[in-house]
Amino acid sequence: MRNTFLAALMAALAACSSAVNHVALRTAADLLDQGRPASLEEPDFQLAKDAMPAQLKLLETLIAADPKDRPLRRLAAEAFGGGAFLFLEDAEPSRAKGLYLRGRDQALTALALKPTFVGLSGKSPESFANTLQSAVKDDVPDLFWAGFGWAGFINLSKDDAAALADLPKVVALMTRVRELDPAFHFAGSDLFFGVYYASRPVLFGGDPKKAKEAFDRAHKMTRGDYQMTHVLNARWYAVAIQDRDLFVKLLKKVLESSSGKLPEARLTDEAAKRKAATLLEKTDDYF
Amino acid sequence: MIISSALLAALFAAAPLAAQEAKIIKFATLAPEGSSWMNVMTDLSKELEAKTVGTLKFKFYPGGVSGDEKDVVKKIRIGQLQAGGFTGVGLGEIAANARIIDSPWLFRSRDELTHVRNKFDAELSSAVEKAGFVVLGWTDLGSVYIFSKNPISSIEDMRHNRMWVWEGDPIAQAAYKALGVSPVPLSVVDVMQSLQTGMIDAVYGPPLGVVALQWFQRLKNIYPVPMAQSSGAVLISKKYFDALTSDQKKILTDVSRKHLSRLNELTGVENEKAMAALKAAGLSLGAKPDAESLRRYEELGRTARRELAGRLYDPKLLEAVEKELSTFRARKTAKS
Repeated sequence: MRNTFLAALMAALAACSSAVNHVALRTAADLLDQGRPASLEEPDFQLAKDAMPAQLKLLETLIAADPKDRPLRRLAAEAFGGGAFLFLEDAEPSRAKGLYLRGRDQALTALALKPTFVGLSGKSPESFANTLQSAVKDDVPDLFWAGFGWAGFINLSKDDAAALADLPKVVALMTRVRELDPAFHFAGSDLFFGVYYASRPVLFGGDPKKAKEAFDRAHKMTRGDYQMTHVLNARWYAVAIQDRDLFVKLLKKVLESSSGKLPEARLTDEAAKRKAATLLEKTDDYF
Repeated sequence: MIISSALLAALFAAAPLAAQEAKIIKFATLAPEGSSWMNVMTDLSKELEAKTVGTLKFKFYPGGVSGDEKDVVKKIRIGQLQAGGFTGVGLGEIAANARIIDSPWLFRSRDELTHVRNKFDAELSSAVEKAGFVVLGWTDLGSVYIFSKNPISSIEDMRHNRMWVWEGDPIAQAAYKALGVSPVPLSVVDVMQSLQTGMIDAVYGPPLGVVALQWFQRLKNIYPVPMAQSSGAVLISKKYFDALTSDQKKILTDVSRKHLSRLNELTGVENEKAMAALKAAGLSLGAKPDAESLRRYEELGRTARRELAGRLYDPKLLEAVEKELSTFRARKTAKS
């Protein structure tokens, strides 16, 4: 079904003359944009995983034809970053790194469509953070997915000093998201800060108390219905404070929960359950 | 026939090893999962497990989940953990004598550090053993540089800046005393905030440390003369080590030496990459001072080390180390 749709779309694109071509591209882009909720509501994890490569390639094809289409870039940033996190990073971390970076770059390019943000990533940490002060609420998805992809890449590159040196920029992006729209993507900026403060030793700027506050805020904003919150809380906070009971309790709760209580969260909830099951099997490794 | 009896003998030799219950070495470090440190430790554990036929392996507590180095030392002493990866701070907690290799302006290169550490391995290891630990390997942490907000090009400049010193770090304190600098003592945890408020405007550390701690975002300059070559060690409880079979001891020692010397190579490369990343983030490396200034640092180093001898380490050991270094340098000059 998916392949038939893709083949038809590709054939339509190839057959069109340039004027019609633009209309066809626009239609395809709109279709993808409208199809976003359907992807996120997918209850079958494997189906979503199998569909990912074709969707990513289609997005890149459409972007190549219309590089200044901000919604498309935004969609690609989410698809690359989300895809790496949900489907790849546990089993194939080195491939996930590449996808995270492609997601980050799509978001940064989307931001750079506004002149203020041209050349943003090459700035020093201080001037990077200052430039973000001119971001507005409408920029939040780009800021968030740039930070998400970048954070995912750094988290998988702890043996790479050059990657680590960019962490202050991710913090700046997520700080701005939290200021402008803390509820965005299931309180995603607070989830980032929860992991950020829990994953580093106290000596290196880690802070279990701040991590707990961030996870608690995220929990409150999503009423505990976003299952990935509990998975991240267990993996990072419960491990940091070496609380085995909390780790097991949070992950078991995820396994027993029903997916999709929140709109557009069904697929992530399914992924959360898989991550929870894998983590539970590794309980003895963490404590 | 000869082959099959040799095989049989080998099988019998392996049998007693395999029959034992698996022993686990609980190991803690500040290095996070996925870092070069932990990647090497994971390889080390895999080879150890394979070579001891599953009778000995590590279990890891990375990323500081077991607390700071002082906590880890305590936990090893009460048997809650068996081993740890330490910086000079943890090492100093255990055997102050071993900190001689962290001395200010002692080594001109990593080669000199490695030479002295190998030459005095017996003395350094025995200091650690007297305190109830066994050295599985010495680890490089990197050249320690001064990073500052304002450009520093002389000792005079250092005196006019608010230089941070790690509370309770006798080595850096002695170095600053020799320089005539009155530093601001603070815990590592307070450095970031204090750089922000202006309570301090210069810090010291290896490049990789300054990147990992994220301090660099508040700094602009790197002074090009390293203050010291910082070292650490992977240590295991002597009581635990002594209870291993002689085969296990030998395998653990050999496998550790092999992997930890590889780690030292990796750390060297990573510090170079960190230095490049710091420059890319906008920090500038100052011009190297003239020969006269470099000689001055060597003199100050001697003063600082005399200050530390007797208080931190054995004066006789210091004398022997300095003598060995002169011989090593003379031999190197003669060769070139």
